[in-house]
Amino acid sequence: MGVSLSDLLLLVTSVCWLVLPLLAAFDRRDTNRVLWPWLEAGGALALLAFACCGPREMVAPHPFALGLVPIAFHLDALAAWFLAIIALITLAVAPSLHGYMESFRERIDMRGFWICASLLPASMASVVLAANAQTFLVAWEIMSLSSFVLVVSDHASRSTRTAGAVYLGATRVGTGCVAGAFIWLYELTGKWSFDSWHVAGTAAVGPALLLLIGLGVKAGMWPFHLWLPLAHPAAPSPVSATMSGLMVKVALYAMIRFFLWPGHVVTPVIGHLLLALGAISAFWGVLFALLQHDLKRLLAYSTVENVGLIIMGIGLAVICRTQPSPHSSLLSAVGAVALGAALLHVWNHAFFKSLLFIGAGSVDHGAGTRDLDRLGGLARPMPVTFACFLLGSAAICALPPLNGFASEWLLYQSFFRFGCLSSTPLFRFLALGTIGWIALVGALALSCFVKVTGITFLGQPRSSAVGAAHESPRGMLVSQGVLALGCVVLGVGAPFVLELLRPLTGPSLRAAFTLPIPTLVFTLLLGLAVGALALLRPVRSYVTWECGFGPLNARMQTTAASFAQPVARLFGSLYRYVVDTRVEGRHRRHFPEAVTVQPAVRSILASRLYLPVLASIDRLARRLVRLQGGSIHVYLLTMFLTLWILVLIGRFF
Amino acid sequence: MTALALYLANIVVLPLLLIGLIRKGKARLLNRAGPPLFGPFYDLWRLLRKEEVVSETTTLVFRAAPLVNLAAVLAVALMVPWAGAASPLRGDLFLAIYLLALGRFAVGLAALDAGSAFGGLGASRESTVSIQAEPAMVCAFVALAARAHSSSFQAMFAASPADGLGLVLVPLVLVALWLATMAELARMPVDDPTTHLELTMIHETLFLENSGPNLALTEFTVALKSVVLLGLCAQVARMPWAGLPPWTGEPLTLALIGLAALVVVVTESTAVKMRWRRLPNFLSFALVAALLACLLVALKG
Repeated sequence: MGVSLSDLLLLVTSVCWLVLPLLAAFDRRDTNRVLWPWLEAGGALALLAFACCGPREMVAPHPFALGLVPIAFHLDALAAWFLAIIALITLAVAPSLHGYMESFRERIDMRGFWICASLLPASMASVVLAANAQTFLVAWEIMSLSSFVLVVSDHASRSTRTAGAVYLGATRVGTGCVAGAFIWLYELTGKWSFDSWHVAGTAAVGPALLLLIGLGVKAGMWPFHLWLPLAHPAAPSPVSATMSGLMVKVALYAMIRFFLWPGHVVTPVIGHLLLALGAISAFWGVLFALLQHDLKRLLAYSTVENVGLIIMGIGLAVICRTQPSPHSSLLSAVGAVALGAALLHVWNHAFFKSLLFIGAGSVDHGAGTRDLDRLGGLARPMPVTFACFLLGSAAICALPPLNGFASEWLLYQSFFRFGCLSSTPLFRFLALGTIGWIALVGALALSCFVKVTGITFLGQPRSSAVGAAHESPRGMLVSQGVLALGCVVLGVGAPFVLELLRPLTGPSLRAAFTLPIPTLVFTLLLGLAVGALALLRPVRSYVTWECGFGPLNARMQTTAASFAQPVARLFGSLYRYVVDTRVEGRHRRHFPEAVTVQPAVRSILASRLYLPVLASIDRLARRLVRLQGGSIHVYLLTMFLTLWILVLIGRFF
Repeated sequence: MTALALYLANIVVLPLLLIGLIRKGKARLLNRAGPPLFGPFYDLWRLLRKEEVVSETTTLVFRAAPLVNLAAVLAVALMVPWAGAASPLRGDLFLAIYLLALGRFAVGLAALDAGSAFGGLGASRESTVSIQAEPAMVCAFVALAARAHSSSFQAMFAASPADGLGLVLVPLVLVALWLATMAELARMPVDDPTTHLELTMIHETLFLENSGPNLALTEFTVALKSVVLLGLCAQVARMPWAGLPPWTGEPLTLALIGLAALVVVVTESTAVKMRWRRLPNFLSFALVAALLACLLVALKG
């Protein structure tokens, strides 16, 4: 039994990512060594090479098992695609870790940080590779718990502790639903291994719904997304980049694997649900992103939007697969395009969202604040961060010829083809209407990112602290540069990337990509050259036009709230948009002394659904606490009643 | 050869001629002599020779944004099939919409770059208008594309509407496109291009800081965008006459663009600018018309 290259690569990855925590845990002298990110990057590189090896099965030898079930891993085309992106993003984010955490080494327990920072990618890779239910669940739990520890790294702050508690509660619900679905599927099929699960029809609806809820919580799908805007801003920025770029994708990987390819639990109901919930997530996410003034919270809501778009693609692919129709071969081509759009967007979103989060961390590090109302004018002191953030914003707004446009174009094309080829008029109309919906989401995203980039980096600084900003450490700049380059390469080289998806979608995906990318790039460069000719003359520098009233101060610029106000008022009924204006002064009607304008936004989901449910659970729990009063009579009575009920259940069921 | 010459004339000469025509038309309607017909050409030449003044607060974005805007709108102009001739750039409608979005992104950032109150106001309002106008425009084009089973402009306009569906579809799509175009180009009743009150401006506040060659490029890009969008409306309006011989294509397109300019002239001289808050009501007509068009195409199959 020889040792093949892929075995060796797996060994290197395991050593780098699993030995590192042990080294970091016992290191007393220097808690932020430069070695740890190098080990993490090395492990990521080995994992990338491993993903390029062919499909294979790996089962752990006999003594290592989870109960009666062996620890089994399985690398196929879908797992390889997701492993590759996990490796690439971990590789790109690693340089920024040392420089960013340098400023936190007194406040955070760095040993715990390094342990979990390498357990997180290792557990994500294990989830993607898992071949049976137990392996999946164990790796899933390690992923949830290590990311929880990373989220509450800076636990001195109260808001971080609240975010951690909400995140932990959400992961419990999610894991509970996924475990329940797995147990249900075991009852249906009698086996724990994924390959033997082929459930379709009405029997599949129950487990599929449970899986949808469990995976939807982790992916940040509406209405389970409330933990995302709390947890991602609370974590350190490289961790937010990993969580937003990779962890939600692992949940999407599980969705694709179970519902679509190879499809263990296939029903048409799930396709329609995914499409509807994905559409609402996309709209809800970008709308709330527009209303935020905290840079990282805004990016977290934008993750909800992009996850919604990916889920729409997956939903359409499931519908195409499960719809019985006379044009089933044509529809399977449409399904392939939809799946290709979703998979490509997984890669693209990982790249530009990680770039934006590290940029936000860079801004936080250089300017000392994340609040849009205090930032401004950072383009001069932080030029590299600005250039990379600008590229990331252009990519996330799906502007040609960057990578976001390629996947969004494919998504549009899949809905368009479905609208032409489906045999039901209602589905055709809904598909055409969905194209308009995606256009609305795109326009909202454009508005959001013009606001973010413009207010953070352009204009004058809105607070004096920001005026003394400085550029970030070199590691963060390297991370951002690599990710920005990746965005450009994935955009211009989109046809080549689609070739890589051939094992998953067949030849119809590459054939569907009819954009003339080289001609487009040439035309854009030609237009830039023609325009540049006109601007060759020297310029004179002067102040911004102030109507002759004297110098403008930074307070006169647009704020985040005022930029978003027209759109906020447009959709105001969805979240109770209220602008509270107070004027102060003794003769305030004619001579106001102070004016305070406070816009307020309240999420109906949180206030009408989650908070009442949590409050009633709390009340129930307080009543049940009386059972633990210390009276031995009550304990004995409880034990006797439980035994009696169990005997009755065993007797009659 | 003549096709190429006509194409270049459409892109280079027609935009400025159109703006001159609209200005002259508005003046004549008010019984004034008005600026010369070729005024925009003189304006462009004059601006290109002037010195540019750049604000100290701005960065490279301010100087680069008009280039990006021009490149994006030029790419869209090269995608529009003028009068049936093949376009040099074979794109489709989604590429065109997102190229216009690229231009809007660049212009919005340049407006925020100067650090003045007007720039942010203009960028915010321009984004809000596009949020409401884009779904209508996309749905209108998608209805035509679904009928032709292809999203490229060439195929969309070549599908002849000989049947009843086409004759009902074209007016609906035209209504949706016209209203969305008036909003995108910031024409009346959405925005008055000749206003001097900054608080009422949507489009003009974006360019308050531009001067000299920068302003020349920007004005040319705005004119080119008008020609592109009005040209697309003209191509839609030309669809019932697709059976005519090909040499009538260009004159018919020019005539329809002239008709569109006349409608713009009359609207700008007689209509009152809407209250900003009533813009959703106005654009909802466009969205409903576009969705009705999609419904008709979906029902027909």
